[in-house]
Amino acid sequence: MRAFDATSGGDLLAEFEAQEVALFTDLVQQIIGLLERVKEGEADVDPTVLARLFPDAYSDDPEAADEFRRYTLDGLIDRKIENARGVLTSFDFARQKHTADGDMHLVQLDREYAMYWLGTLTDLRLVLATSLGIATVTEDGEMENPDAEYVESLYDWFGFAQGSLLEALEEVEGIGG
Amino acid sequence: MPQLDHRLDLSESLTLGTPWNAIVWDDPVNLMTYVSWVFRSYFGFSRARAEELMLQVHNSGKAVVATGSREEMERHVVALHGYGLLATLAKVPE
Repeated sequence: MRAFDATSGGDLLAEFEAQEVALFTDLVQQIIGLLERVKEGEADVDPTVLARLFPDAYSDDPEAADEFRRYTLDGLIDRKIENARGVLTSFDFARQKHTADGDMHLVQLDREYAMYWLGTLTDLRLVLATSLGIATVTEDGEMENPDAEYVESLYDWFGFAQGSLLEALEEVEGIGG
Repeated sequence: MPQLDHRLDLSESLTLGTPWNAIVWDDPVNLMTYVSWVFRSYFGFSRARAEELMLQVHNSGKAVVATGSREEMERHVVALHGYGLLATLAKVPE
């Protein structure tokens, strides 16, 4: 991946390798699937993931927190799904550039799509961070969760993508804001 | 011509009952630049104000980002949850 950069026209542009696009879109589709299952009330979703994606609004009043969640959950899910679909759309519209190292996918975002990306990158990192928390180290120092290192590398990668997008966005929006 | 200050006072006096705070809590996942961007983007805070609040969240573990009616603070909290931040609301301590 080549980090996000501001274009002269005020858009944000990054380049992804084909396998990165495949990995990224797969994870985004998994997020959409997870959110749809939550909306349908299916109980197979990890409660720690749910608690982080939809946190308690009242820290010392579980009843009020539950009620708040009941009223706001569907709207929040719709917003997160809209973000995720926006990310998938921007990959659909990515132009391709042939290079010596293979085809690069040029993802170009306006401010609206940048917001979809920032939201989805956050959700991806929140979910991945929850998985990282589950990984425990055994007495002989082995990772019990064999995917932990891989999950961590994804977590860092999305953090890098988000950081570069925010920097490019700052450049576009100038120092006035 | 009424002054802007008077209009602000009026809106405060229309808020019935105890005021509530919207609070953002520190979390290890969200980038500091992202939290600051959310404060600018959602609340329309200046860069300086957004940075100040973000650092308060980071260093003190939490910061009050808005105060007002319960309904208004609930709207802020759900919006902040939409951005993936840890946010709660609580009555302003007496």
